[in-house]
Amino acid sequence: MAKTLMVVDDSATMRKIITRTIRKAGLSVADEILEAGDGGEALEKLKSSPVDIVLCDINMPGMNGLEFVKQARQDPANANTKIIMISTESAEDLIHGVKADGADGYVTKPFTPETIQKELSPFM
Amino acid sequence: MAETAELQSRTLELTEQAFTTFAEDISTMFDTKVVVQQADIATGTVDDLQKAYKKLSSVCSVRAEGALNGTFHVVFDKEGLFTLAGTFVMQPEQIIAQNRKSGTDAEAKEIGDAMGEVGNLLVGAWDRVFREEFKGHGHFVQSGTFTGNPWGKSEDSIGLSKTESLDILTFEVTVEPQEPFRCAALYPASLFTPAESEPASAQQEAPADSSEPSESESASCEVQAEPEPEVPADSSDRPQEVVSESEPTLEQETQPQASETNGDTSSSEPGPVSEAIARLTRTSNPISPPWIEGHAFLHELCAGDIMRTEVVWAGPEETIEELIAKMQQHDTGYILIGSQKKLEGIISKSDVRGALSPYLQSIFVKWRSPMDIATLQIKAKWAMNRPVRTVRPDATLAVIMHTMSEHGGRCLPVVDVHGTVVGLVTVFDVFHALLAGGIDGATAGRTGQSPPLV
Repeated sequence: MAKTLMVVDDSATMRKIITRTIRKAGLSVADEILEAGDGGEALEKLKSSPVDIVLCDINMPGMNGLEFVKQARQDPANANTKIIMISTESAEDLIHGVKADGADGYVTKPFTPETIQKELSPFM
Repeated sequence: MAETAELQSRTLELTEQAFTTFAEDISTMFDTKVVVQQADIATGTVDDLQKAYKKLSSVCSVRAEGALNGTFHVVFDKEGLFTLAGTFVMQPEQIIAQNRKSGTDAEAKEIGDAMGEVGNLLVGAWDRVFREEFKGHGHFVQSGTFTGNPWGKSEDSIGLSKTESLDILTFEVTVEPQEPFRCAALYPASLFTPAESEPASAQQEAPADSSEPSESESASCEVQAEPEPEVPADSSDRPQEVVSESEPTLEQETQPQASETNGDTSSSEPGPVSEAIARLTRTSNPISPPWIEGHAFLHELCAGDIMRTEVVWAGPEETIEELIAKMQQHDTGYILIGSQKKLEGIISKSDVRGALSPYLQSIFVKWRSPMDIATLQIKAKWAMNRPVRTVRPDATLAVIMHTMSEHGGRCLPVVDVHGTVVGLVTVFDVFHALLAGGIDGATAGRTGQSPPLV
């Protein structure tokens, strides 16, 4: 069964790039990929339209990705939602910290369809 | 201060690597070939950037934390702006090519969001490189992206004052199939001021070095950059007659084969900046015309061996009239402009001739007007060539000849790692060295002496 996805990034360009890369990765995802411009908007959309996987940028104005993960994990409704962080930041301590806060995966930019495929496959 | 020089040197070294990593990241994400070509190192101000990058460009500002402390910038020219942004939003090649030619401010603003992502990827790439290679590196954070004309009110748009001296490292980037575009890293001198905790011990070790800016001084924007090796971002703007005599560029040229002759050059204490320049110039045109083969001395003799150390200086406020007097007094064709051996520009005899009215020649005395005489009062700073192409003392004769022939200059100031002038090499010094080394007319396959012109 195709998985539902949401892409969270303040940049429309990056949302487009991520969406295109997911499509190219050949994963079984729903036709519609939801989008949100920051963590707050993502939390709101999750309430009305829960998804299987969220791909979320870290550095965003408003609610950033780190705060989003914390708050999303406080809501039991999101317990089964996998959250994958996407960022240019590649510091080990940051990655460990985000995962400790509840993120299920971490993709470092630049990413390729293969990178995305590898990171999402366990959750498909 | 040694630490400042070390930070600066290492940063210059890693900049090429950072740009290359950025290019690889674009290649990875967008499945396109991106090539980075090292270009120039220069020092300059916003005015210089304005000439090179015109009205429409994009500037990514990066806040550095750690050993590098402050904000630096990366500027993309109009072609780069539309190429990168177009690639990121996956525009068709034809649209990108069209925008590169005729894209307007409005069209640039439309894809401003994409430039933000370009900056994001750029900062990520740079952060990775510096984290792995730069001791004391903390973090790079993208602090803003400006698209439009950043130069008019640069302080407001990108936080750069008009007078701030910048190290400008220019690169040519090709995103195939588009033509190359130009971009540059802009490092203000204040970026290399050591963090507060470090300098205490350094000051104890070197209390006599009072010429360097203190911590309190460096807090302001007025920290003066050392006249590091520089090259004009675009020399095509200069009047032709100025270019013909002494190339108006201040560039560090070091031996491209430095790595091959490591054993020889290491003892000459190349210094950190020298290494950085060497890295950046490594892929310059190889100096291997056939006639060089078999003349090992071309790679053994260095600028330090053949330069003349008695150099005539003048201040930037001195007049052409005073410069003429100095040229006559010291029987020299070149005067360096600056103070305390810090080079600001250079003036040759032909520059002086070019600045003066032709009616000052005695045969025109009859038609001479006060305006013609007034040209004698032109200040050196208005007539001088800057930046100036320079070489290090360990640059070989081959490199010197290559530099002169490649860029048309007849005179190269020799500067040490601190940017201090230690001598001057002219074409005549080169000729003397060639004759002494065994290359004469016969060796070069020419007749020894041309008949005199009558």
